[in-house]
Amino acid sequence: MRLKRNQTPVASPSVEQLEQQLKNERHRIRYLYALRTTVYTILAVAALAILVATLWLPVLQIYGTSMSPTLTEGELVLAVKTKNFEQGQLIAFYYNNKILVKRVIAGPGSWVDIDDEGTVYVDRVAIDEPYLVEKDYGMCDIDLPCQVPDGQYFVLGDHRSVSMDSRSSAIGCVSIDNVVGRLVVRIWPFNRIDLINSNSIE
Amino acid sequence: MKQSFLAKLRRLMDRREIKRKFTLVTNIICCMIVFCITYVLISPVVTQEWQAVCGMEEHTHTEECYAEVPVEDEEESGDEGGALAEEAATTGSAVSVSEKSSSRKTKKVLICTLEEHTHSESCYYAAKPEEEEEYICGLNEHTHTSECYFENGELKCTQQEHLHTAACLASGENPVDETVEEMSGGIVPIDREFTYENEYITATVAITGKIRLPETIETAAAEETTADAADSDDAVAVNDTADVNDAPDVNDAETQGDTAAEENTGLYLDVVESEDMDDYSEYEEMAEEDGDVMLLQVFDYSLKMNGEKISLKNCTVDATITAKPELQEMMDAPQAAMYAAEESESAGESVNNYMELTTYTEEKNVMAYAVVEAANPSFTVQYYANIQRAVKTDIGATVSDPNALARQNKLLLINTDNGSTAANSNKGGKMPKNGTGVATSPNDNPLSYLELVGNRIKTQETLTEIYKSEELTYQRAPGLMYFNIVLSNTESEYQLKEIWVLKPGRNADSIKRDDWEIHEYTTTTRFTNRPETAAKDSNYILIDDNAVIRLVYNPEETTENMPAHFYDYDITGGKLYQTSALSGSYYLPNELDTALSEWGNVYLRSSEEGINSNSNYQGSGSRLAFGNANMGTKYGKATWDGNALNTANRATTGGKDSFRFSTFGLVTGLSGGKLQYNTGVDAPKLFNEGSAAGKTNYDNNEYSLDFQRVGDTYTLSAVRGAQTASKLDEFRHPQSKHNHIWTNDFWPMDSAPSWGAYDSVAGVYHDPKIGSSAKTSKVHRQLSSGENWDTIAENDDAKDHNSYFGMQYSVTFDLSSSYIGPLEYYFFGDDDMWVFLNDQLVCDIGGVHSAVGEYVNLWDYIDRSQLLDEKGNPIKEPKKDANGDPIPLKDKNGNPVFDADGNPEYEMTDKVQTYTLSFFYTERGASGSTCWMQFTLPTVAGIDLDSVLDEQLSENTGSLSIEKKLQGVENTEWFEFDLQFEGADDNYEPDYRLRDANGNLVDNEELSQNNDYVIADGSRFRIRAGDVLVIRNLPKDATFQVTELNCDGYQPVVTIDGAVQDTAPVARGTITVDKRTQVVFTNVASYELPATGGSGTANWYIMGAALCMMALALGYKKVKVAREEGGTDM
Repeated sequence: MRLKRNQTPVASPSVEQLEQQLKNERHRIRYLYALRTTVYTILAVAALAILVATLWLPVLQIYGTSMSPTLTEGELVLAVKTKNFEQGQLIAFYYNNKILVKRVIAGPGSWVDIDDEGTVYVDRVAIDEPYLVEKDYGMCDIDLPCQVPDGQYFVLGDHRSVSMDSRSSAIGCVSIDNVVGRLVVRIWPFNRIDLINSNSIE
Repeated sequence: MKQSFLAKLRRLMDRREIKRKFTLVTNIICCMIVFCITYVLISPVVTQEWQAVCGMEEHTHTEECYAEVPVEDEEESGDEGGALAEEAATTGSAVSVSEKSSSRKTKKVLICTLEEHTHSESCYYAAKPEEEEEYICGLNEHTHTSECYFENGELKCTQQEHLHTAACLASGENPVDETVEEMSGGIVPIDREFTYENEYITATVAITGKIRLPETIETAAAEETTADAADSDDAVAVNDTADVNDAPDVNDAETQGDTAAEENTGLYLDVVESEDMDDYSEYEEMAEEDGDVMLLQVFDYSLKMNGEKISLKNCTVDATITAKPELQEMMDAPQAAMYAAEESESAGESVNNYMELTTYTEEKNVMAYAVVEAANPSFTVQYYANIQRAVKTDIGATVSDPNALARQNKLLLINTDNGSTAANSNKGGKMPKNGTGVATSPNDNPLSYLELVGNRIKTQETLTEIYKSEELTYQRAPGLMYFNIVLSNTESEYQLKEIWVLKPGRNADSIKRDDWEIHEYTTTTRFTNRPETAAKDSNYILIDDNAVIRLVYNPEETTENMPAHFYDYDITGGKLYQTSALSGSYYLPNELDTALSEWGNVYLRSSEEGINSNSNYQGSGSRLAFGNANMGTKYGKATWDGNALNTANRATTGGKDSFRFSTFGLVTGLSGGKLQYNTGVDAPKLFNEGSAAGKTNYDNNEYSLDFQRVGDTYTLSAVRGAQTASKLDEFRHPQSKHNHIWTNDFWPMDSAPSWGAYDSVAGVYHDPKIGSSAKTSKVHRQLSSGENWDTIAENDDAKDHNSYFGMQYSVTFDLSSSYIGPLEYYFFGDDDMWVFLNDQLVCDIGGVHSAVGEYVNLWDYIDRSQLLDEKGNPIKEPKKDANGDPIPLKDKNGNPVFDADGNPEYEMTDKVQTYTLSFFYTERGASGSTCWMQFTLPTVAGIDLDSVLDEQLSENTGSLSIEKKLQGVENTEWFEFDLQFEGADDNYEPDYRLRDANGNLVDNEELSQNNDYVIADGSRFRIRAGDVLVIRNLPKDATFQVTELNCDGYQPVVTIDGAVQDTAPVARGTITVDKRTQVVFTNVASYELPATGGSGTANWYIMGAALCMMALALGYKKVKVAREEGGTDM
């Protein structure tokens, strides 16, 4: 081989050097692979978490006392996005850009009445409400008995004396379109983690 | 080979370990990410309760609200217990005593500052006014009159004759609500009164609230509505469902005794005499506390319909039992009295007995009554209070050396007392006169002095009778609530401390404690007419016949703040010149120090400047001026009626020798709230007369006065303003060399913002502060006629002050017909001090004089003829509730009391006359300033001088104030109003003033430039929460209608003079002469959702979707790369 002027001859790399170079290259590829995989995994998990938390199982934090003793302020609950619920179940629903939580008392077409003692009658039958500490007529400015309109639900808070709910004409019955979901499990505080019993109305 | 295999295996295992750890770390990171995302995505959810607008917190006392206080021994226990009980009585808290051991006791004392409160319906929203009923007939009510016919009798009216009936009502056409018909919940409102009678009594049971009808009635109602309800007798049942208040009352007198068949169709009260002997025993035991039981009946009652009992749980039941004439006659019969007398004599008593009907109606479903025979002793109640008053000592008619007296810490007083008392009032005070000598009493009274102890006026707490004693009987006044005049008249000035009972044979006028049996008052103190009860329970004080009971009150101490107006006057041209030519270079007043340091001496104008300006005088009399000769004013030597007007009034200054150089008689009275000067006196507009050159008004709540109040005695202690002038209830010497001068350094204007500022009215700058020798010797005042240029006299305390100012304020006090305590006023100071009771001059220390005092006994000016009857006894009037209705008198059982003729009796209270005391003060000299004052008056209230201004209203006019309030919310929103007047002259000239929420007066010129602000008939104006608009000079009997135009989102509540109107948001009324009608528009905020909820979930949806897209894209890329690499490999 003839060298050009001023061109220094290059020594061929040794086998060790090539092996070391190969090793470094493999390490780099493995490192990048691991990094990529981790990032992808994290992104996938994050996306999944967001989708689950927004589309299926929203997490809600309770503010206020009108659902006590069933729910107290500061508790975290999971809700399931569904349009199917029964009397006695707790639902969250939109109201004036806020989310409220109340208990479903009567569905569309039912007649609701409340006597002075606070006993609630649905279709003339007094409902059993073991979740209440005290019955109360509360603040009611709607005409009773009233029939729940189609596609709406009559809801009440469990702390009847202070709860602002369907007894108030300002809220009235809740349209099913506004329902966020049904509350299913309390996840905080830890010592109260449990399924939120529907306490189905008998 | 073997080594190579082992190495490969080790590497493989290492890789697996690394991979396992890597997976673990990745999982942990994923969990953390899930947690964080979930946490971030937590949505607030509101349970939503009503927001209470009562302003109180729900609270029930628990054990934690109490603290235990140890008590060492019995005696201490008693004292402390009393103190605690007193504290409890003050705070409304509870005190209980518990014994922990035989030697050591503890008390549970409420330490919680919260009141017990549970929200009720009224805490959440204001009651809505009843909606007006809507007529659906489409016709107006009209009845033809003569105007509806032509002369020939033919009808010309096009309207149909019509009067609304129930059928015209929207609700009347469909009396049975469809929902009730179909789905009656069976709950109906009730507001009924049932009556039950037997041979002795009439029982009235009023039931209000809601009841649930029996199902049988509901069924009947539903069935009946299918039939022709109109002509069916049984429609009663239907109507019962709709309105039980129309159902027949089988217990009514007319229907009582009817058959059960009627009972089956009506709502009735079933009353039966109880057969439960336990009930009888219980009530007999209760009745025996009141006397010997002569008759007892217990009834069970229940509300029924169709024979079925209806729960009263959600109803308010108010039952009353009254004796029928037959029973009353029996109780009043001579034989009963005779029997009673015999009984009492046999028992060794000499008191009159009486038969009393005692009723027990507190429980629902049970009521009882008993006729008891009880002693009815007559007794006297006296009302005394420990009143703190200044100690006034009389001396001779002449004081040889006033300065020597001052050095003995004694302050000279002019005593104007003419000896009037509550029983013999209105003698007229002895007003001082000029020319009696500088150290000789200016009236026929001896001179007096007040003594200083330390640096305060010596006071003494004296047990003084403050209300006229009353003769009562136990039957009419069985407890403190029936005769606690002090409590009802003076509210919080005094607290009942002790109850004294006169020992046998002692003088009822004695104030020696030994003559009385003394009981410390606690909230558990009661009175009884039964010796057994008093012996058994130490909380009971026995009232026997001819007992004399003295209620002794202790004063409460506090600080009261009252509004006052101040006026800052100037007497110079403001500019400080370098030369006596009074032209050329000058400095401004607040640059005096600079001017003196540069020029050494300065010169200023002071002849007819500022408040002494020629333009301020309208008349031709002697000119009342400020600054006296010391300041070179032109009017320094002015005289009026031979008296020096603007300087010390003595012969050497061209005046008369008057007591302490005062000039008395400069004013004669008040008219329309304005000073009336004596003939020949010409004064500028010094106070509330308006603006004047050289005068700055501080009449916009810039200043107020603090009074130290002890009971009914008020002592001026501070002026609050730009800078608080405090310790005004203390005296000191201005300098040690002036040890004959006592002053409280009354210089409230020293920090007034007007000092040194430009006065746009006078067109000059305000006076400089001068007073220290360093300045007075270098500041040269203008040459007065006949005088040479001179420096200014040094102030007594050698300090610079903003001299020349005025003060004006007013207080009202309520004089009740029974009040016989002191009414007095003390003043000590200089210069002019004029005080008026209503419009009458009662304190006169005019002129520029040395500090001197004056004592006024206001009984000298009180005409009690309107408060006393022809026998001289206090006139009593029925107490009235918030609606102006008299409050019925109830006996100790809560039952109404009737007189012998069967007419209801009412709670009575003293007739009250309200007086206004108005104070006018000026500091006209520049040597010193002292203003100490103290008054003892009942139920004093400082008044906004705006109301005094109302007294300046034109004749036959009144005023209207419109105030805006918000409840449950705070904002600065404008609220617009429509204003309508009827009866007001079209030429009515708007005279109004607007004060904002801080009490500041809004400039009318500023308002008039606002197109939204025109006060006239048909105009609109707008105000904000806290604003008060006062419209004055409205003609008598003019009617007004003020309408709030837009109060969406609020519940409007309107009150006129405190009475709630049902016309909200419209206020209608009539203008009353010399009265300010007060209209308050209150907007109660509707519920408000808490500020939670966040921004919603939309953003998170987008972010989640974006991340998913990104993940998918990266995943796709990875697969693609893998495929490409795999392809290459292949």
